[in-house]
Amino acid sequence: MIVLVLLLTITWMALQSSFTLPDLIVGLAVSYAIVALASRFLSIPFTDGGLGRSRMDSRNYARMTVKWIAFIGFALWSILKANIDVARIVLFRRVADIRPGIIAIPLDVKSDAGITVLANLITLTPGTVSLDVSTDRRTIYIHCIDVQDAHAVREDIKQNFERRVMELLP
Amino acid sequence: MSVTDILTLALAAIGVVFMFLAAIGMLKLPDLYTRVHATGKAGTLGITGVLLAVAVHHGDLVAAAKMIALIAFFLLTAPVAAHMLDRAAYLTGVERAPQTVQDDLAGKYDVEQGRLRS
Repeated sequence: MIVLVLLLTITWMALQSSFTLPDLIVGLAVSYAIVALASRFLSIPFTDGGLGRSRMDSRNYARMTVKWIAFIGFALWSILKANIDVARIVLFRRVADIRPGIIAIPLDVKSDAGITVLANLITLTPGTVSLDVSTDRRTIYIHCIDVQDAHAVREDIKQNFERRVMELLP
Repeated sequence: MSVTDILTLALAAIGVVFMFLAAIGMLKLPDLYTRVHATGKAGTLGITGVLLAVAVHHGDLVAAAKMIALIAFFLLTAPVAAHMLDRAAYLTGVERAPQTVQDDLAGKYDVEQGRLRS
């Protein structure tokens, strides 16, 4: 939804062909209102995980919006941490000391969109890159640049990332 | 120097430093899989820093909107590239560094078909 709001805002500003701050604010407000009003009639697979589960009422919509914003903030923060982490490994660790490995992590997220977001998040965050998802979509395999404790890595991803993704895209 | 100039320089410097680190990582790390970590991650912050510097330098919303869109697209696509590189490497049997400690994927691939057994 938030993607839709941003797209509508950009379209709004392009059509106004003026990119001032008031235009941005008005555009955001108008787009938000349009999506809020139209959400009942839209079956956006991205919002209900493709399960056709819920039609969203406006309160739910507002709550999801807040959650998405929080999620994007969390993702950006994780990306910053990841960069510093990799920089530290590149600069200060002796190559012979790092312990790379491939770890299997059981998946609870079911939807395509959810798995995609989780896989992207894993890649963008400290020391891990998603490698593949099993055909039955129950397991995701990640490459970890420095495995000190495979169990801890697994728990960290399940608790921190998957839980957040689950809330948005089950 | 104005505040804008200082901010531009700072952001560009952060960006360039992280891209430089990605380059060092390319040279220093032992195998393809670990190198993907360096380019896939340090690269993202590098690009973000430089693009933000461009946005601040121009100081208008048109430039800022374009740069933010670029950053968003980059953050969406960079992990996909990293993932595809790793997967292709694993499927074609690219050697892992000798210090690799764990491989939960071993024997899980149907190499003929390039499919992952469950």
